[in-house]
Amino acid sequence: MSPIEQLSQDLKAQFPETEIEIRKSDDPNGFQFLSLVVGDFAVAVEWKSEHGFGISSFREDPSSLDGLFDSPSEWYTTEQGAFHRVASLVCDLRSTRLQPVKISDVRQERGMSQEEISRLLRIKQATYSKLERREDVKISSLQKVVEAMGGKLLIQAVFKDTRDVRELTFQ
Amino acid sequence: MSGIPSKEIRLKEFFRRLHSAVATASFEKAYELLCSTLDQVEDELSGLPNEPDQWMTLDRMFPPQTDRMSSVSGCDVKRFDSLRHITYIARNGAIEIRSRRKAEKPVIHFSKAGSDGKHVSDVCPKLVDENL
Repeated sequence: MSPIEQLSQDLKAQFPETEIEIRKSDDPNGFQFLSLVVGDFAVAVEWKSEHGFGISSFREDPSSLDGLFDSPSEWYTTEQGAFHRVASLVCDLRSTRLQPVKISDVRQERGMSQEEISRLLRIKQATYSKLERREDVKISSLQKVVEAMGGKLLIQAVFKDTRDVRELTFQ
Repeated sequence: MSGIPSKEIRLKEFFRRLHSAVATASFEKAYELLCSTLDQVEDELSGLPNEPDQWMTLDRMFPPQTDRMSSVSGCDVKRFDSLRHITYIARNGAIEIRSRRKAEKPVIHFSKAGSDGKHVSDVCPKLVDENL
């Protein structure tokens, strides 16, 4: 069973009322796709062995051109991680696109405990727990947390008047 | 990056140029036309380099690659899957880009006939009502 088929099976078991379709490219080493629809909410997943699972979700007019030719909003290396993320999206029916999330939500979606992160950061769990609950966090601290989760911190400034999106760095 | 047209504007320009181009007579020529037209638009308007191996992180539109291609059963049509849309290219050179999202009928963002005047749905009538 391919990873996308496994994901489909797991999602069908968890959400029997949803429509789920999978499709495979003719190339046996090519992409495989999963579409999940709940009413007007959709989750699209694409998988290829060297990339993992790319996920995007959206709720909008099918005639909208928004998102065409976009690459996935999020990537997960394991089927378990992809399953947890898709499940959270379906439970909350929210888009992957530029939605603010709590550090604790991201940590849980990646299947990591506070203990694990605090061990990687070489701090006490109580200290890390306080960090997750803070309203204001140093960028350097957030960067270390994201890297401990296996990610990279990018900070974007979005300007509505010119549709610019700028990636910010600090000296 | 200030002043760069939005992706929606670039996409509409891609559709405009593709529509204006001379119709092709084969899958190969149609695929080449689609890829080259999108690359040209993005080269001119996106301000981003044409580095397909960076497709996961660059906010540039890239043409669908053959590792996304599958055959529509019983028809001379190939299908390329992307997250939010499906690109169909028929053996006669017809091109169609549809929403993946289901409505009562398939939602067609772009359609161009092959040089014989036939559209994708003419080549494969069962695509009229469904994204197969």
